[in-house]
Amino acid sequence: MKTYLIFLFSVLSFMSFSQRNYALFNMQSLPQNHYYNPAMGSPYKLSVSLPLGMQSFGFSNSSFSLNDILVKRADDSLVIDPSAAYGKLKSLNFLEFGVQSELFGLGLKIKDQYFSFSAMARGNATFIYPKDFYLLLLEGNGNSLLGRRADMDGLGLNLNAYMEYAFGYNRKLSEKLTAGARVKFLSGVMNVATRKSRLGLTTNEEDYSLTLDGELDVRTSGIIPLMNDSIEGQNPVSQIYSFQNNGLAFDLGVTYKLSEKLSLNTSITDLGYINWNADVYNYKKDALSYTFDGVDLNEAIRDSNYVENLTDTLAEIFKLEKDNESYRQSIPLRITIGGQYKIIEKLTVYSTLFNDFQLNKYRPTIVLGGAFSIRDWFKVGANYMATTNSFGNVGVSLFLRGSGIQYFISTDNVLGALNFAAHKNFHVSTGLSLTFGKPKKEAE
Amino acid sequence: MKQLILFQKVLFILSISLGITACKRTDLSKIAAGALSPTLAIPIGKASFGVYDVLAKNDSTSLVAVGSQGELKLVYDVQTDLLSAKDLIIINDQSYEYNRSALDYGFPISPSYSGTSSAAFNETVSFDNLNGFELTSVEFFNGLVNLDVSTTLQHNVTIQITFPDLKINGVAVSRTLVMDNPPAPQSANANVDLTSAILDLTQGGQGNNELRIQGSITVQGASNPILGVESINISAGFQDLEFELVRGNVGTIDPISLKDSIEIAVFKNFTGGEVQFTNPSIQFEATNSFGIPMEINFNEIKTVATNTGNEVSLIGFPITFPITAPASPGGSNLSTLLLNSSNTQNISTIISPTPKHLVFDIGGELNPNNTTQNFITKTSNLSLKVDLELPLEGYAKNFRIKDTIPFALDVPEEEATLTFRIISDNGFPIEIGADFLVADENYNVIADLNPGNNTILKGAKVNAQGRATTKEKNITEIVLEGGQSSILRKGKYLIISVYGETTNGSQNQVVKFFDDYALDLKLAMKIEGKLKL
Repeated sequence: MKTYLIFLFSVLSFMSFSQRNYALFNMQSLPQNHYYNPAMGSPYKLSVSLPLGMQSFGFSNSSFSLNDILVKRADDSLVIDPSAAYGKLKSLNFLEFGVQSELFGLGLKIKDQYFSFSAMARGNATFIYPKDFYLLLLEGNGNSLLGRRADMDGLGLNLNAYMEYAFGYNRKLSEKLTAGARVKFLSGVMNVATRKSRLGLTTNEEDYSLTLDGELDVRTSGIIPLMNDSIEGQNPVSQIYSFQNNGLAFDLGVTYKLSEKLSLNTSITDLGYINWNADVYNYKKDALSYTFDGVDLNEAIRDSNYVENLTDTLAEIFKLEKDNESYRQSIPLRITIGGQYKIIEKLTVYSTLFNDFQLNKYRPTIVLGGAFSIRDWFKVGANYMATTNSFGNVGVSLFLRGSGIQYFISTDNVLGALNFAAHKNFHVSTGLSLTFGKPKKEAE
Repeated sequence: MKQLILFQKVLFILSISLGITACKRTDLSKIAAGALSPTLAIPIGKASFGVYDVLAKNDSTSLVAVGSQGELKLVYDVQTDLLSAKDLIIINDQSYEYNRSALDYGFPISPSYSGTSSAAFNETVSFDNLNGFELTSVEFFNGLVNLDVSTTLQHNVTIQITFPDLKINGVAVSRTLVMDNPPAPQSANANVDLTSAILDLTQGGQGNNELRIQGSITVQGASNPILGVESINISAGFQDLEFELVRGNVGTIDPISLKDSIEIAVFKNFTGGEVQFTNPSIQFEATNSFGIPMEINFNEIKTVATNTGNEVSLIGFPITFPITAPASPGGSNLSTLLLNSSNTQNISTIISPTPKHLVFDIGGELNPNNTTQNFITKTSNLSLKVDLELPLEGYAKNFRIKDTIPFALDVPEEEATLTFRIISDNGFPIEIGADFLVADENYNVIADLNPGNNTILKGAKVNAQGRATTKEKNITEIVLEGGQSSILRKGKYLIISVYGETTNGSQNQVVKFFDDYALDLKLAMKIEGKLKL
């Protein structure tokens, strides 16, 4: 076995939806690409991802970067000025974090069939903040928001953490066509799902009376006991294997070779759900609208209990309905359509459209890139990625292999890695696998 | 091959670009503290004030009266008792004593007398009163007649004393006192309760202040001598006399004298200005339960502005006020005198300089026409009520009201700017501006909260009849700059000066106040602060 180390810059996509790894999707020689299209897999007869083999971490803010809120003064110092970023906000903005940690992975290739097993911890959190919410924090309600409704519809937090145990299989059905699938058993650890969020604050221009309107439906599991010591809850670690919050998901994928040089691929991943049953605390508020225009002094004089009654009234109006009913929540779905073209043996270019769906929100991402095999053991890649409110993302990836050990590292925004303050997102993936059994030449 | 070279070139350029980018990365160590300047706008309170709320705030002593059309007037009054029965007549204790000898009564002189002999006596005495009234009768509510007799005769002596003019239940008061324990000296006494007794002081005729005492003395001999020099003493004492009713002629006297005033509280805090009421009036009501006609004489009626010393006297008004008497005891008569523009020359103008008090100086005469048949009961009383009525109809201009209240402002140390917004919707035909001055413990002004002297209330629009028809809205802002907070914390007093006029008061337009007027006030606040990042 050759002991060469090949460094390959591969393009990786953003991880903020916790399953972004846009470049991995196009890395045929990596066993991990099987996770993003089950029709793909490692060309080696046996691949083993070491414990904590693949790690991904991502962060993104859809609206502004850190530099956008830093203002340079005459003395060259920087001042934090959040108002400078206001113009970059859309009506809804997303602040996202994602992690993915492969605890163990196994791939076994037998002739035209590929079998796999993996155990992966996955987590993502998205804070959705409306533009007016940002403005309210920035300016308060006594400036631009006077006389109009501060529209904070959609404000919410979505959080998902679960353990995924997946069994995969693909088969070469013909010279051109390969199809695969994975069935995944999910064990939920914690969840926050903002199913409905409508919130508005209107400040009357004349007398500053405040009208609050809104509607809320938030489901949680495994969160409240962590925030409230007086509530006893399940041990989050045990939720990794207890399946108390049980779920099921499927991945489906197909690759098709149009010619020797051109191939197409498509997949649907994370088509599934989790039933959240443990430590469920749900909060709901039906549509309400309440206007406060000041303490009524006439009433306060007449009724010695006025303030107390007012407090009680407000508490009753804003009281949330609580229940502990189990609920089912779907996990973020992705549909991918792409194609690769082998220009020469060592150089491949590709284009992929990723369609991510999460809680009725849709985000498309397009990736254009190329991979270059400097050596068999050393491959590099570069790509350009554009998504909602984020353009000009240049990623690089690196692949090395030697003595049965395969290593990769990729980022979908290398500029963000070098100067994250200037960019709205940053993601990195890295992984280490053991491979056995020389792959056939055409698999590389 | 060409493509490979091209890709290598792209990779090279990319590497250079990345290197440049790395050099240009943001140096986060240069970040200094920033700040947010949010502005919080909140409503604080609201209130609606009706006429009674507004007037009571400044003046809790007046009565707000409502006419049939809802028109309003302020009524200030003062009531005082000018004269009571106890002030007018006092019936003092009376005593009568007769010390005579046996010889004076004509009893026979004997060394040993065993017979029976009688003598009569008949006296007419004066029943006085300290006021010198010519009383014809007295009905007693309380009192006592104490009869004492004594003698040195050594015989049984019986003395009967009769007051023919003093009757209880129609029966003349008479008592028999027996001294049957010789030898001398002997004495006896008796008391007569005068409750409900009636004393006729005319001797049944035309006289007055006269009382008859009659009686007889009977001696029953006890075989002891009668020397003639023995004394026989008779005394009658009228004590603790309280009358229920007296009749007679009090003559003509002038026991009434009064100087009093009415505080015109609506002007309590006025420091200047001109106020013209269209139809003010002063009404005097005298309630008389004496059976004596009277007459009040006005020495002076004037208004006084105590802050300026300005006095304006009422002129051209009737200076006597006749007061009638009830026909029979137990009744009372109400006599009224109304001073208004029809019988007074300058009643509107005496109110104009916003005086604080209406002062009246009166004297009075009883029985000016010398009616002879008067009566006074125990509860007879002459009271006088003076009403100053100010119909809220007229105009006011350039008036100023000043008040000082305790002040304490606890604002945070941060340099926050507070803007108070007063939103008024005024249904009263009156326009108000205000100064708000903060003073220290020595009343030195340290801050002016409303330097622009902004209008607080705009006057409601009025129609040709002076009735407010349309509310007027106004928004006033009072700003406390962040730098002022340290000054304001030293403030101990808030001096409020309010100035204004009625709608078009400068053009002397007459406005009217009705009971359906209302003032809606809202208070809101903006806080502009700084949050350090």
